[in-house]
Order: sequence, then C-alpha cells, then structure tokens
Amino acid sequence: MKLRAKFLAFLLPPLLLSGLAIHYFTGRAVSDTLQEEAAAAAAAGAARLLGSSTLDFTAPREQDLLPFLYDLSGGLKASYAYFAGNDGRIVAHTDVGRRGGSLTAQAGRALPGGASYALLGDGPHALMEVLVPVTELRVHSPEELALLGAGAPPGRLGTLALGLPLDAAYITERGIARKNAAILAGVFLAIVLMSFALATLVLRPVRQLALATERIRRGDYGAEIPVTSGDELGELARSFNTMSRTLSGTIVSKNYLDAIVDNMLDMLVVTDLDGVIRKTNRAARAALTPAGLPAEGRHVSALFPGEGSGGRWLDLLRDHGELRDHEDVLRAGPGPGVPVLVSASFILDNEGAKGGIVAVIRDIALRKKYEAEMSRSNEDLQRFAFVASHDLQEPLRTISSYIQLLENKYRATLGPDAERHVDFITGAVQRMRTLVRDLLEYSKINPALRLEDVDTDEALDYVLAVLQDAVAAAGAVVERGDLPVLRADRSHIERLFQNLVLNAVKFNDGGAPRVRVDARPGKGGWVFSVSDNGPGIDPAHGARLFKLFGRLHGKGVPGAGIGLASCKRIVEYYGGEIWFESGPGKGSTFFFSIPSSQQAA
Amino acid sequence: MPESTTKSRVSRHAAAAALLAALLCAPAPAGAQDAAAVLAKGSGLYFEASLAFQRALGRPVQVYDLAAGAPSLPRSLKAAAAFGSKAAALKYPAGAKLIILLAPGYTPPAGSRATVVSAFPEPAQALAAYKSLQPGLARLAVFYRGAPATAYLAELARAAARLGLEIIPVPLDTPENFPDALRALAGADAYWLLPEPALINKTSLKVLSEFSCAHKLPFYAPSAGLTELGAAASFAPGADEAAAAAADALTRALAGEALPATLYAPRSALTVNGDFSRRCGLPLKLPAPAGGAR
Repeated sequence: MKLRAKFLAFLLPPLLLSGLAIHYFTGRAVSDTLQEEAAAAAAAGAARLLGSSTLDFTAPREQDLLPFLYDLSGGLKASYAYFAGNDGRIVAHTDVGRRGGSLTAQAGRALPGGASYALLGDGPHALMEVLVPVTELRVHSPEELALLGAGAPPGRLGTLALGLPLDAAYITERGIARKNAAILAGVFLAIVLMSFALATLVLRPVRQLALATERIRRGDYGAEIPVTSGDELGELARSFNTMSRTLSGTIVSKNYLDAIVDNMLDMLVVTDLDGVIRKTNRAARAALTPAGLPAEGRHVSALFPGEGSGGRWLDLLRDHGELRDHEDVLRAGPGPGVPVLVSASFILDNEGAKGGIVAVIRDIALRKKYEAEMSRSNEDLQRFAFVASHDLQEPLRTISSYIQLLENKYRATLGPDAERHVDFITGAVQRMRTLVRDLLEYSKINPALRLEDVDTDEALDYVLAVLQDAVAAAGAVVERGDLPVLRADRSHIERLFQNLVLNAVKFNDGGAPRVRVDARPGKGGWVFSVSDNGPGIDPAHGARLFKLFGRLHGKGVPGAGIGLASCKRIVEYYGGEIWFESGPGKGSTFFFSIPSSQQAA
Repeated sequence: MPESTTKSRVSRHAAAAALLAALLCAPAPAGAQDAAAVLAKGSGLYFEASLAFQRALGRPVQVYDLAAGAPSLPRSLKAAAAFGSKAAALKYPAGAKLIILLAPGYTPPAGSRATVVSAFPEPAQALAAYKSLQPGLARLAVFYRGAPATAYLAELARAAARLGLEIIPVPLDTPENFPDALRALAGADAYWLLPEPALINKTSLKVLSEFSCAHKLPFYAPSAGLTELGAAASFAPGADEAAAAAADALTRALAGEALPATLYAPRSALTVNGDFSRRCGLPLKLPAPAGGAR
C-alpha cells in the first residue's frame, strides 16, 4: 500500500466517525431546540388563551370547556387538547371518549411559567404533549393592589394539555439534517482533498528520493535530489546527497566494471553453483562460441571434456574453496584443445552464502609453446655443457699427465724458473679441471626429480663425511639443529648442503670457522639455513652472487662461482627460493626454502 | 375540499337574478296567481332553490321574500311552496295547498294539509350509499331530535332490515348531549346525524368530528356543507333536487291530486371527505383521490 493510501486510510476513519458524531449530536441539538421552541410557543399560546378566557376552572364542566379546547387545539394546530383537574382526572377532552381518563404522568422537560413538555412516540408520527398549569385568576382592585402584601401564589386549578404533532418539526429537522450532512460532506471532502494535496506535497521529496535511489541502483552513482526545505525531509535529502557523493567517490560504476570485465584479455565466466554458465565477458564469448552458439546455459564440463577435466576443477574448487592457476585444456569446438589456466572462486553475498562461481580462464597456448622451445633449448645447452665439460676432461688429464712426466724427467735440467712455470701450468690445469668438473656437475642437475622421503639429518651426515678433509683442514666446527624429513630428491638436498657448508668453511678470516645448519617450518614448507662466522658479504654484491661464475673473491680462494648458481637452480626446481643475510664482519647466513607440495618448476 | 362535483352556477345566477328581479318587481300574470313561492329569505340557499323550483315547474310564479316583510298573499292562491321553516310557519289562504321544503326542523301543526319535501334522503338510498362506502357497516347509530324524525327512523329501520343492517337510534335534546351519547355508543360501526338544526353547532360538530377521528368511526354528516367541516361523508338531497320535488308536488296539487304528508327528493348526493377519512384512517372504501363521488 502506498503512503498516500495509508495516509487516507488513517485519515478517513476519524473523519467519518467525527462526521457521524457531529451529524448525530447536531441532529439531537436541532431536534431538542425545535421541540422546545414548539413547546414554548404552544405553552405561551395556551397561556394567552387562558388569560383571555372567561371560563371558570374552579368548577369546570365538560360542555363549557369543550368550545375552549376546540378553539385551543384549532388555534395551536394541536392534535388534541384536554383539561385535567388537580387529581389528574381528565375533565374534558377534544376526544370526548377520553373524558375521565388520567393525565399522563410524564417526566417532561420544564418550560418557563411552570409548563413542561414530553415526547410521546417516535419518528414522524410522534406527538409532543405540552402541559400548562391552570391557576386561579385573582382580580384585585387598585386599592387592594396598593395594600396587598406578598401572599401565597395563586392556587393551581388543573392542567391544560396539548398534543402537538411533530411532523412539521420532523420535516424541518430532516431538512436541517440534510443540509448539515451536505455541509459536513463538503467540508470533509475539502479536508480530504487538502490532505491529498498536502500528502502529495510532503511525498514529493520522498518520490524524488525513490527515483534517485533507483538511479543509483542502476549504477548512476552521484545522483542527487534538490533540497527544498529545512525540515526533516530537507535533512534527509541532504544526507542522501552526501551519501550519493560518497558512493560516487568510492564505488566504481557498474558500467565501469562491465567495461573492465569486457576488455579483459582473459576469459571470465560466471556460473551457478552447479557449473552452468550464466554470464561471460567478451573474451570468453569469442573463445567459447566459435559456432555462434551462446555459452550461457551450457555446463562447463562441456567446455572441458577431458577425462575428469571440467568436473575436476569444479571439484577442486568445492574442496578447497578457491582455485589458482589450475592447468586444463579447453575444447570449445572442433579441433585441438587450448591449454588454459583456471582460477576460480565462489561469489558470496553479504551473509557469506555462496551464490555462484566466477572463473578466470587464461589462454597459455603461447606460453606453452615458448616453454617447450625453451626446454628444448635448455636441453641442448645442457647436453652441450655436458659434452663439452666431459670432453674437456680428457685433454686436461693428458696435459696434466704430460706436465707431470716432463717435470719428473727434466726437473733438474730445466732449472728453478722452469719449475715455477711448470707449477703455474699445473695449477692452471688443476683449476681448469675443477671448473670443468663443476660445470659438469651443474649440467647434471636434472629437473626430472626422483622424489623420496629424505632425512635431511642423514643427508648432512653424508655431506660432512665427503667434506671431512676440508673441514678438518680448516679446523671448522659444524653444528646442526633439528633437521626434518621431507619429500625431495636426495642428491639435490646433498648438493645444497655440500655447496653451502663448503662455502662456509672456505670463506673465513683465518680463524676456526663455525658453521650451523638449521631448519624451521616456513610458509608452505621448510626453510633451511646455513650460517657461518666468516667475513660476511656486502649486500651490494648480492645481485651477482647466485649467477653462474659470479665470484666475489680473488684467486686465493678456490672456486669457479658455480656452487651458489647450482643451489639456486635446484631450489627453483622445487618452487622455492634462496637468499642470504649478511654484512661485512658479521658472518653470513644462507637460506633456502623447499615447499611441501613441491614439483619441478 | 370534499371530493364533490361542483356545478358552475355563475351563468345560472346571472340569468336567475334577472328573472327574479322581473318576478319580484312586475305583477305576476293572471294565470300564475294560483301558485306562489314564499322564501324565508330572498337570497342564498332559498333564492337559488326557488330558481330551481321555477325551472322545474316550467313557468314563473309569484315569489315572496319574508325578509322584506310579511307578504299579502292573494286569496285566489291554490298552492304555494314554502322555502324554509319561517315560510312554512306563515299563514296561507284557506284552501291553498302548501308544499314545504328546506325546513328540516319544522313540524307542520296537527291537521295541516301541508306536504313536506323531506330534508332526509330516501332511507333505502341512504343506507345503500353508506353501505357501498363502508362495506363493513353493520350497525349504524343515528342521532336525531324530536318527533319529525321518528317516522323517518321507522322507515329507515325497515330499509335497514332489508339490507341486513341495524339502526341504533340515539335521541338527543341538545348539542351538549353529544359527549355522553358518544361515550355511551357501543357496538356501532358509524354514526349519522340527521339534519336537525337544534343539534348542530360549532362545538357539537367538533365533538362528532374529533370522536370520529380518534375512534375511527365514520361520522356521516347531514349535508355536504357540514361534511367539509369534518365528517367522513354525507348522503343528502340537494336544494335543487328538493325544489324539483316541490315543483312536481305543486303541479300535482294544482291538478287536484292528493299528496302524501311527506315526500322524498328522488335523488340525493353522496359527498365524501377523502382527506378527513384518510387522515383519520377510517374504514371506508374510498374512491381514487382524483375522482369525486356524488
């Protein structure tokens, strides 16, 4: 029900009730007034006729009274008239058949002069009986009047009664009632019309508010309404305008969002909770409707027909509540499928209830192609490095062997200078061999993981056994914390420990190196750390620290700059990271993380 | 106004006035001296009746107005029509046949040879008229005074018996007897006041009228004129009808026929006061308001 109807519904009942009450009470007042006026006029007329009559009421006789009564009733238009004595017995009545009856005892209403009147019956045929007292007539001479003291009131001789028909008064009353009702109806109609106009005036701002709200609902943020008054409605309008401006400044419009969504390069699909597509953006429409068939209404499983495909990512979403970069194959039409990454989440309403699914589907066909090319290139490069380093080993061994032979055979002949030169050659060959070996190791790092449960504590034991000579030569002390068992390739974990511990032992200020290997649970996996008390590393050099052949030290320290590059390569295979914290003179700590759900990157 | 047929008398008045003037001022022709009309008053009802009398007679007669003084009636007068009680009481030449009309309270002296055209309607006609107006009528009270009505009441009772009605005669001496008589009235379905001037005055008519209305008993008045004042109806001969009956009697008397002591007008008129009857709710079979009954 609209406000105006409610207003009228609220207004009309009291109006009708008040109208009925006014009509009723006015009618009663008019009726009483008319009756009283008629009674008073009749009583006055009767008194006047009594005053001019010469009848002797002290000894009334019917035949004497009848002419008077007929004159009285005829003159006053009474239905009947009668005279009753003080005993209440009717002495004479215009209807002679009622002589001897009794005066009707009525609890009437008083009139001036001791008269009274009462109603007999109801409606248009009602009668009003007016009773006029008849008192003795005292005639005094002027002399008597001059001498007369306050005496007793004149004695009552009887009662003169008049039966007055009320038809004329009734007609008059009805006429007044009709006019009264017409006036009331007019006044109330005016009140209703004015109320209607007032309601329209009052509701105009409300209507404007409703229209503006509708505009906002349609995305026209910033819609305002005129403030035309300083009352509560004006205050409401001002508050609304403020809210609208705030809304306009903080919320992008629906059109704006639509434009963004429609211009996304990725496909955006909105489905219901069952996976039936309800809405798509332009990219999705282009990709999903190659034959012109609308995607809306189709189930996503029809677009991902692979074994457990469409249902698969829906199930994953339902299980985890969110899906990120799930790789799948989209087959919207005939021909080969398109590799895509699907990210999806539920659409929640204000109460947190799920209302649908929004999925962003990214076409990764090009990326896959580049990855495949890169993979091939990496394999070629790895194969080249392997072959090169492997094939370089042999000439180096030959050079080293023959240098050893020459040195042994011609040491005394060549002299001290030649011996020093041979040492240079031998050292260079040795470094070349180390470099080639490291390169060979680097190239052997294979992304094809052989995952197993690796006890990293045991892996560290194995590494320390391998590095036993180096550790002992440096006088290093290696400590460890609680190391976990994790899912990984054992050779990778051992290589990581070996490179990092060896670096910690190698780089020191001449004192006994103190190395600590530790591990702690990190975000989504384990974070290992290898710290030392070495000279530390300037963070400015950190950028090239993990690059291949990225050496920070001179030739005095053995190494080809391949160890940390190898570590970085291994960690990235697992999707983890490697970094360090250090400063000059503060020692260094190298961290690497191994995610729990690792897979080859 | 009662629902009676009013006859336009304007033109008749003009013609009759001229005729009467001629009759009163000019000597009557010698052949007309055997008859005369004596009027209690030379105007009003008696005058109009005398005109009707002469029209019915077919010739003018000598008309005497008692209001103008005692007339000197010719000795040769063989018959005279007396209009009103005063005219009836006049001394007429011996041997003259006297026809009396319009004298309801007059009783001819004993041994009189006068014939009275009764002011009462013919009994059977009257009862039939009242019965037709009041089908439930069974007992009819009749107010009367004195001997003249006694014989009529006897005729009325006989006629009533033939119609299955009962007549309740109520003799009265003065109008003041009406209240007691009415209060004593028991079992009557209606009451009828015979034309008796001694019983009619303003108060008695009001008594009869008010009682009728209060007790829903139809009051049948003695004349159409009184019906207008507050009665249900009346059935009475008009002056014209009485005059015509008198003219007929006079003609027969001049022809030597013997006449009865009382004659009735051959026709009477029923006059109904519909307003009164309806206002008082009287049990009458009233004609439609637009129509009259006569």
